[in-house]
Amino acid sequence: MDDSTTIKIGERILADNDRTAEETRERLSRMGLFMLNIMGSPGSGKTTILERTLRELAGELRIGVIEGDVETDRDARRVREAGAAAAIQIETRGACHLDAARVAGAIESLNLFSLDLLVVENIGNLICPAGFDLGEHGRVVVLSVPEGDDKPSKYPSIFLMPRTRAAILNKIDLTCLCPFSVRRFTEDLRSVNPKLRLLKLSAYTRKGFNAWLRFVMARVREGKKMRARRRRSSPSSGCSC
Amino acid sequence: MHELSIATEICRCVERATESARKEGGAGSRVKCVSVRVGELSGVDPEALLFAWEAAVRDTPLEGARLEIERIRAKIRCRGCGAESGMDFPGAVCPACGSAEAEIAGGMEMDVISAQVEDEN
Repeated sequence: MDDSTTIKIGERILADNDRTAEETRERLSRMGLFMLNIMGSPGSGKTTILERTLRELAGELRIGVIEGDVETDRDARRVREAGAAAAIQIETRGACHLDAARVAGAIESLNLFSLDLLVVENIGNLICPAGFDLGEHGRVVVLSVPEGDDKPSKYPSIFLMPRTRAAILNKIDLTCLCPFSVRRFTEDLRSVNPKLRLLKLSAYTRKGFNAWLRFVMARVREGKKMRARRRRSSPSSGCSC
Repeated sequence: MHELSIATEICRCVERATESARKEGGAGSRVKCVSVRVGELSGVDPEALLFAWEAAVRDTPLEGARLEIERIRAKIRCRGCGAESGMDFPGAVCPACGSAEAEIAGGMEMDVISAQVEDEN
């Protein structure tokens, strides 16, 4: 005899996270502040790319950075020294990804009105952070030459997420030292997501870095356009906060 | 091992749903089984999720509840010819017409479907 009832639920597992993320995105969009989520493997050069970006754009942009790491505030100190307008470290104490609530909490302590761009550097991991929306407007995934040229098809999810805008191949100055084929890598990435933009660079030698800086500047403009669009669609609300 | 966060979120979602079902009357408090749907592209490993589930439900009202995971195949739909096909890596390219204009049509799912609750009597 069946003595049970089935309750239909039909909800996304991460519904709470998605709601918080949507609130964050809406708030930033209204302010015209683009949030970029930098993801990638540990040691791929996410922080080094960010440091060079901050140094090179220091006079032009005020960039706020939220750093995610399992332990230590080393990266927040690094980006602060490189010229971040504000830097907050989230130490997850073991957790392998950032989530929307943690990022929303960090945003509370930032003066958002003084910023032109908000960057989140996620935990170095190609799997776990993929499914967690943080409220960002776009994502980039950083890989590097010493990791090998077959990573995209081994870890496809992160390259397929709808907000992933570009893949960065870092440390291209090391191609002569590693058994790495840029052609094989490009084909591998294309086979997973043919529409993803690929930026090949070396944050160390600076090769290819201008294209990345142009990509960053375009995101800042995209943020400002979001605010303009919202103002046009609701002309009665004069306040942008 | 983000499956522990996923398992915790499933618990929260189920507790909320069973709580309101109880308030409406009829449903008991012991959850026997929880059904979820997890796509191949969601980044969730079913075995790790089952392992995390046991840890997540310990000492909670859901202790003893079984987790049933339906794995959803990754699928693409071609924007050119409309064909739907299974996605075998590497290959975000339509096997029917060779077009690269294909979109993901399945495999990203991460949903709580239902909870089976013992009747109150």
